[in-house]
Amino acid sequence: MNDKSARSGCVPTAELLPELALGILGGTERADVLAHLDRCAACRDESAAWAATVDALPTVLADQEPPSGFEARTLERLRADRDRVPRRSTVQRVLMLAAVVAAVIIASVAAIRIIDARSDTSSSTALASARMVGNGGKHAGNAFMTSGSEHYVFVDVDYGVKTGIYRVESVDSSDRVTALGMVAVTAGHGAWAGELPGRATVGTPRMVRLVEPGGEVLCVAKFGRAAA
Amino acid sequence: MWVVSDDALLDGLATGDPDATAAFVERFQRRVFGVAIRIVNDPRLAEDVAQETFLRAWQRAEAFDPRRGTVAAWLLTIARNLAIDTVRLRRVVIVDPAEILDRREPTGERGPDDLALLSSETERLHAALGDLPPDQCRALVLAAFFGRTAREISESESIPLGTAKTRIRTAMLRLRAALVDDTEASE
Ligand SMILES: [Zn+2]
Repeated sequence: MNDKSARSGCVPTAELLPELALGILGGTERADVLAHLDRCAACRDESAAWAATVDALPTVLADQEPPSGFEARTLERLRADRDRVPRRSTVQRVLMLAAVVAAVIIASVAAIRIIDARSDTSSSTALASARMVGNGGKHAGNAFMTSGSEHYVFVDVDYGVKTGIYRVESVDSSDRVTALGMVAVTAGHGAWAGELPGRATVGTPRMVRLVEPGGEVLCVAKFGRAAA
Repeated sequence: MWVVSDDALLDGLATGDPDATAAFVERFQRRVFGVAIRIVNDPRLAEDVAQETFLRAWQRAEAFDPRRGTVAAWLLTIARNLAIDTVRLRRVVIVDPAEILDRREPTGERGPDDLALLSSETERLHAALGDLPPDQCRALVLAAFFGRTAREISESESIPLGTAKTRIRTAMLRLRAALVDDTEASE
């Protein structure tokens, strides 16, 4: 859209796009930028150009010889994964939790209550996770949801989705769709965290999905009955 | 000798071909480990991050889009993001930001794509980083390689928030200009 309100947001948006591409923009600034990108194609193009700049940055870091045996250990790990050996290494668990925490920090939403929910196993609040899959079952990332008196939802996109701005939606058991917010994916990475609106208007989500600006569903995370 | 392109090796990785997988790891392990060790500054953690990077590359190989950049940039971006995830919760950056940009002679095998790139994009980017005023360079490194927000940088550097944001933005503008110049020069 090229109406006046969209254009008037271009200047403040442009100033923040480098921080967005670096993945360090949070809070209301992030929300404002994402809202503008959702309706301004010119700034979306600009955002993609910044993402390309950020993508190139790690290539300047110097090589280093890994410890001896690294190659063999890595290949063994790939083989184990290929043979569908169901194991999740400690670092994978740490990274999954780190992704949740990063999503929460970036979104600046109810961080302490969410982290409490994660660590307090005795309470009725629990954290359920579900893989987000795209077309053809392709892995796109993970979604997390707390259960209990309130629902918090986290979405962590993980290299399976191309650069862009996507709507986060929940779908409840009676197929009611609720727009939760927007997530920016740059350099294969994007995270979103937020609270579901009150129970009166939204049922327990059975799925969380990412939707393109055009309305096409990109990927879906389905939560089982036990999760909700 | 015939050298397989990075894209062809990634295709081989995606199909699960054992030779292509081994060749892929052999070709990129020094670069992936280099990114990991410079950011996390701990050899064991860096190995975990580097292994996880290859695992994710294998799982997501089909999502790679050659129009958006090179295999190396894609793979090293995975390594960068994983490394940042592991250090984001550390309160203090324990690495001297200037030091992680130290250059050493490249080691090991490089594919034809790398050789072409080394003489252009990466060199231009490195030169642009070297030309940045030290304050801007520090802010950029803290943001790009340690995931620090402008507010965190303003606190750790004892500068106003607006100054931190300006340093990050100005540095990014110069790096982007260096990459654009490079594209034009090679066309
Ligand atoms: Zn705009």
